[in-house]
Amino acid sequence: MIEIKNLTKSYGSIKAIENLNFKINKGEVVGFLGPNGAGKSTTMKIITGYMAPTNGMVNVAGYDVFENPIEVKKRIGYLPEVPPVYLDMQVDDYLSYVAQLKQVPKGELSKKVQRAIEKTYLGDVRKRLIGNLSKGFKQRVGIAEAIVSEPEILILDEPTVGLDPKQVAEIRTLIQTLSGEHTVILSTHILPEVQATCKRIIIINKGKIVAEDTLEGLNRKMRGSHQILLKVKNVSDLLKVQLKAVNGVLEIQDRGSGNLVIDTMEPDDIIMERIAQVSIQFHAGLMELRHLEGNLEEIFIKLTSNV
Amino acid sequence: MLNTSMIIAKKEIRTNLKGPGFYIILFLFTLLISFVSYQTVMMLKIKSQMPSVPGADDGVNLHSGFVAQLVYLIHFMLLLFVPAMTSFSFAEERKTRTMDLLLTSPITSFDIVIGKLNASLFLVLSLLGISFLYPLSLSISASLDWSLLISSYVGLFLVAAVYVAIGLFSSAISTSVIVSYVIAVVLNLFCIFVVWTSQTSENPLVRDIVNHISISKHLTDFIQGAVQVSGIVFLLSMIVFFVFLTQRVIESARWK
Repeated sequence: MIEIKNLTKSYGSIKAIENLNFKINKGEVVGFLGPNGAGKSTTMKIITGYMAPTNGMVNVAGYDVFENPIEVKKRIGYLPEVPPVYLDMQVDDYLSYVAQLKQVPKGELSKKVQRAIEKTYLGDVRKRLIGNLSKGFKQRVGIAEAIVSEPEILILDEPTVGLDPKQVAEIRTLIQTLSGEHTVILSTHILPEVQATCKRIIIINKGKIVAEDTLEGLNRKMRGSHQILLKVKNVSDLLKVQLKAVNGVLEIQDRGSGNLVIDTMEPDDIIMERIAQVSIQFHAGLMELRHLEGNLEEIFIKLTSNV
Repeated sequence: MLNTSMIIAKKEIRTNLKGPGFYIILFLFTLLISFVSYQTVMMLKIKSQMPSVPGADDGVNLHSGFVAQLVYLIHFMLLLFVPAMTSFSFAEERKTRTMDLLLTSPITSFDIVIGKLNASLFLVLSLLGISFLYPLSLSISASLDWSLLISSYVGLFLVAAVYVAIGLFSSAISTSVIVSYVIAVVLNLFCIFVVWTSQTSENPLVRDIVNHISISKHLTDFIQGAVQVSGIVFLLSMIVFFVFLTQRVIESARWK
């Protein structure tokens, strides 16, 4: 669906992005991750045809962004960092204006506006001026703007900035529901957001891709093993020895206050069961037992500080 | 193509008609024009009561005494009012980042500029429409020279359209509404003041050129009914030139 080859953009002597290469397939939800100033927004702006790159090629749905920008723009819904809303317009007027700009046929206009309003829960404010809405609502109007024309591709630049936790959860659910029908690129530096919504992650730092994989894949690569967290009331040396003896356990780290992190060969349920049995057998007082997965934060910090 | 620019124009006009800004401009414009047209009529009255000088053929001429005076004054007012209406066009869109929406929509930058141009022309037409009521009201009690009146207004509209194009260009090159207003007014004034060069320059070629590029000179032609093709072509090409420049400025955002 989206193919990027050797993409470079420099502002004067500063290279915002350098030689980016990646591919995004139809229906995928891809998280575009990186610290502030890593080049996320620049890359997105180039994909949308808003900005021309210094070098390289972007192909969207079979069209080259620079030779056929109109065709590409028809297929993309884009939410920039700052939602591009007119403060002196009503919500539904604004959405129908956007839909017209995106060349939605007249007959489908009101239906599509209605759908976007429903999906972003804007029903109560549809007749209000956007300028009088709170920041979170403006952000939702921005998301509605991106999805109103039902584009094949959605590019969302930090979509949950400024929302309260309930709204963040709603937007994440929304993105998940959109994932089937749309290809979504989501940029953020909020890690749980990526964990919650994206199947594949591209981590970018200082204009270069430092990792590109699924969340599990990244975990595996970074750790080389799997980890289980065991929390017990009484930690004893006997318990540790017995746990170590369980088939498949590689290493046990004592993190204090009853937390034991157990490295295992594979995320195996039989090992989990054995660990539970051992801790009960030795009256350790089992309180918590779970797979330690997806600690993206660690991966992120490792990857972005190495370069 | 035409369709998409109309979407933008319609939205611009609707937003203007819904907000207070346009009505404030309309009100102030009406206030000013009421004042000046009353004064012009009074001047004409005083003039008509004076004994006519033998040999001078002026007498009381409603066109040169009233319509021409009024059109000059309206022109002067438009020079200041039109930038007030156009300075928001792009400066505001840039500032509120709504330009991002336009530039990522499947429309060309040319469509955007034409849409904005059409919307501003519509607003200018409504100002001219109001100002037209004043000579019209005079026609109840006096006989006007309609063809001269209409040619004056055609000239006025063309000149106003040039100011609109200049205003759009100034709005495109700045993110500040005030800066773009000042740039537009200065450019407009320059188009008028340039005529002085023709009086100070001794080179006949320079004088010819300056006479041709002076907007006020072309407006005078229209007011006197001496409409020339070269005048129309000049004003139209000024509009095209500034629309083209504006489009280039908008397009350049992609390459920054």
